[in-house]
Amino acid sequence: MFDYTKVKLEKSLVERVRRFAEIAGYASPEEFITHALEKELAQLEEAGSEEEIKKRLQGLGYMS
Amino acid sequence: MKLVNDLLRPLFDLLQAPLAGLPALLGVLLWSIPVGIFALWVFGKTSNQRRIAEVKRRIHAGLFEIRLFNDDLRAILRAQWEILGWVLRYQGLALKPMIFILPPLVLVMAQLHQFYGFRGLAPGDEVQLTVQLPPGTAAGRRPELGLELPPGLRAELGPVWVPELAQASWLLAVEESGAHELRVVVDGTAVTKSLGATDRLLRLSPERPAPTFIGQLEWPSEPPTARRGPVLSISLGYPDGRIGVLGRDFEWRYAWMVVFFVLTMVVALALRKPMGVEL
Amino acid sequence: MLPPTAASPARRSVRTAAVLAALAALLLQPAGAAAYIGPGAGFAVLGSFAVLFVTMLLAGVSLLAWPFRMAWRALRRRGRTRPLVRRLIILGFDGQDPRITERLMAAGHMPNFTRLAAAGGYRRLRSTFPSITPVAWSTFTTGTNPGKHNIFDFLDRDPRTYLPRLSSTEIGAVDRVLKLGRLRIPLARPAIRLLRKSKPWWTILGEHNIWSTVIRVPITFPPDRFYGAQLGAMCIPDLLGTQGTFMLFSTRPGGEAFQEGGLRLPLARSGSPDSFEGVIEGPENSFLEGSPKMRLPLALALDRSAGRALVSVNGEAATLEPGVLSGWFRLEFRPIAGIKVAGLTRMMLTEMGEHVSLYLSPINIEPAKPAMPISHPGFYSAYLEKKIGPYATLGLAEDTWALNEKVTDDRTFWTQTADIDREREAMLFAALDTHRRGALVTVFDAADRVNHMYWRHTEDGHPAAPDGPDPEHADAIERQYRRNDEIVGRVMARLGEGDALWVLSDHGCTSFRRGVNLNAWLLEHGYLHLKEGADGSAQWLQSVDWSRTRAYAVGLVGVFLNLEGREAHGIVAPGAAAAALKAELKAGLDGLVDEEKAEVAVNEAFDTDLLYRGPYKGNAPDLLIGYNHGYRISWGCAAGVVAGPIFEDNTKAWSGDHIVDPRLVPGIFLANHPIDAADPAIVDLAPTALALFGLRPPPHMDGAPVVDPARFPNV
Repeated sequence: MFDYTKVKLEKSLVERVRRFAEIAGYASPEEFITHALEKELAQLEEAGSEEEIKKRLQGLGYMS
Repeated sequence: MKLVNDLLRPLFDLLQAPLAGLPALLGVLLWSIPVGIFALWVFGKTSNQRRIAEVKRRIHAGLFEIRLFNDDLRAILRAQWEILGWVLRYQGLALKPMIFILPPLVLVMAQLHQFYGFRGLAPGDEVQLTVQLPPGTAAGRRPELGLELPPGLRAELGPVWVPELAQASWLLAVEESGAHELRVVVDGTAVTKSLGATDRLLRLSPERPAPTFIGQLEWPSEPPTARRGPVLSISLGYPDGRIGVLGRDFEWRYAWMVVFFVLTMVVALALRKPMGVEL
Repeated sequence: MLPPTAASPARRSVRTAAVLAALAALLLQPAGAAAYIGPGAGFAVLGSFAVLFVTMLLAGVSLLAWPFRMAWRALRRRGRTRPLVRRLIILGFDGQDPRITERLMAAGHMPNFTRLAAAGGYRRLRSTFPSITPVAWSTFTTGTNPGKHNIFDFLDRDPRTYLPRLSSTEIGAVDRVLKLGRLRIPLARPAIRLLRKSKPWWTILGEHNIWSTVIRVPITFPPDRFYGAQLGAMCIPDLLGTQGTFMLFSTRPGGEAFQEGGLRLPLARSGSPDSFEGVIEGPENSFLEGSPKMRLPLALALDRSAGRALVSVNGEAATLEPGVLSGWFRLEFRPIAGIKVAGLTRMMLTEMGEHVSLYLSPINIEPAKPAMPISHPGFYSAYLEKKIGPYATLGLAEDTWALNEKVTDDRTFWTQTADIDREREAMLFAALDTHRRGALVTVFDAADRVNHMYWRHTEDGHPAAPDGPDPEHADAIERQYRRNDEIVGRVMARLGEGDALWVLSDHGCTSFRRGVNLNAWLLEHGYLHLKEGADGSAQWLQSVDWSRTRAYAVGLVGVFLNLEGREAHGIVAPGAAAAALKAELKAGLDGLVDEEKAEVAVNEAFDTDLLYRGPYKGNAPDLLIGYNHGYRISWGCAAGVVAGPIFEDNTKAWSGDHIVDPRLVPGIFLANHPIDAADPAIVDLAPTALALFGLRPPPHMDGAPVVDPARFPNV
């Protein structure tokens, strides 16, 4: 779950990320990069199977 | 004590009979299982299991604490100090079950020592027979000493009289295997003593004890000598028992005890969960 | 009832060392009769010398490694700090309401709060929009508004399916498995991700070598990784992977399925008329094809004359008396040989007359050997278990739902809540005693749960009020607040030089008399349409015709537009059309009146575009509904039901709530130092904590310190 791996990025890109991460309100450039990738992936990934979703719904319960 | 020994002797002879031909290690292993279970059961019944579980939990907490605060020297030392306290409490809690476990265990081990602590003699062996007279009884004179040997035994040397110790010794040679009984005659009174020449794990009696509690506890194989008789005790210098562990032969009178001890512990540890006992 | 389990490799080495030590002890013994004592003594000596040996070794290694570790930490440290305090101790009382607190303080019932306020300060604490636990505590944790930490509600919706999902945690599936006949061996661990973004202030402290212990702060599953220790809280699931599923075994035939959160299971006679058996349904066995549920047989034997029963599972047994909750009972499931999944439950016989029923609380993940990551470091939960005994680990550990379903009663819920509260207090003091520097945060949930479940006892005419007077629970809320006061007193007694103490709540509470079904309102006003022939009674918006729907409500706090390009079947064009629709909805909902009661139900619908700033604000609902006192989203609407009236009475035990206009339910904030800010907010606390440790709050944080650092002499 806490497994991390390294990815190589161009220095100049990381520099731009660093500058804008702060302006955009991210706590770190890593968070910015992660978010950008997640947004892209969400466009591509399918939602889980219906059965899986149903199971997940059962687990929610009502909450305060 | 005599009564107890009289009862236990045939019982242990019976139980050991099927094991007599097995390697010593196997015999010790087989004995350690019921003994381990018994000790565990008594421990479970007589100890404060709830407190023991609690104390053990706190000891574990201390170990975790050392891991958690390993940057903080004071925390490490404090955790260690606390663990020491809990260990002492644990020892205290183990005292009560000890009182219940020890007496039967001592009896069992004394019996087993007769089988596993010594090795039977073989034809061609020589063995020293020592007769202890009550100190002072023979002051100033040498008692009349006689030895009557059954066929298969021969006196090589003796008697050698050591007045300071009130001891008389013979050196015997074994010619035939078997359960022999010899007679020592002191001032006209005869006292018997058994001698085992065997390669099986049978009961040996290294000493016919004096009629004292400790003597009989330690040497339960033969009835004690008569009270106020001319002979206090008779001992035979059997060679030490032998036990093979991991292809190595240990020849030491107490070697079997070490193995037995470890095995009982292993049995107890292995069974503590199924038997639901907190050790 | 609860044998500690072989917990760690340390234990195994203990055993090896025990044998060695015993051997050594024996070898040193004098020969003769004394040698017979060996095994007997072994039982006494066993473990203890070994433990000493292992501790010495551990301590030795720790001591030897210490200079290197210190050097390493000094190298990695980001700059030097000049802390203004030695320790910052934070007690969070979730949901403790300022109005009740102030009343009790004024009446002299909370002397320690009063003393603390006099020594430092007391303020009402502005909560977040919305004023609910996951949002408010995430803001506390990160010092940011929800637009930067991404938690806007308990539930989020998947725009691809419109279905709700947990907003804080995502548990992935393992798709790499090795198939061996019927066996399925997973080749990877399922990824469990915390969806709360930004950076906790304790992570920042850790970067400066300042240790923090963080106990049960909500939205910490999976736990943060930082220089310190953390026990997770909301939304740690139960062993079934749900947010809390209780079980009711009963001989009563049929019975309606529980709406949520509970399983009804049969209890069958076995042999004699007074012995019964049932089967506990455990987690799924992902090692087998088709992931069948793991099952544990349960046997119940009644002793009617003595008025009690013996329950046994897993070869362990416990005696139960009707109406009395058992202690923690350990359940052990074995998916395949060599693997155990353990959980803790509490049981109660709810009836043993003609019919017999047995209640099992949700199966908590066992802390000694957790099946999921519930703490950081991983062994911290086991450490706490060893230190204080077994404890509840479930995110929402108090079984509110069983009380709602009337499976348990007020008294049982009180016991359950009070016991968990005591477990929490034990954790706090265990940490307080070992913690010499840094931050210590502990959140107590009882005030919130008691507010929720006993509010009906405090209000005449509440639709869920008990039929007659119930003196035992009439003052439950006050009793809990007074208990909080005692905890504060005990902590104050242990403060030393340079210790700062904060007491805070994330929000307050108010009455929940009437539920509002926003989807029914949207339907009535033509913003939401049903599929041909559907009556809107299906859950999870299954009857909604998305091709004609412009807005819908999901989750507990807001309304979403069905936006083109965002929702799978969005029809509202982003930009001007969306803005116009939002304005129209806001105009319709602002000041919405419950005609039947002639009361304003909604104070204001807030445009979240104006409330939030930050990279994640696009995930927020488009409108946040600020209900008036007495109102909240209805149970049906929260479950995605469209049918029914817009307003309806709330008759459930869950009778108080705070999903209202956040301005109505602020929290509280007390400190043993002056509070300079006149109107502090929960978002200010993270920057304040950093400032107390001599750190400048990072630019992404939204709040500002509530105390002037110049007040503190350097320590």
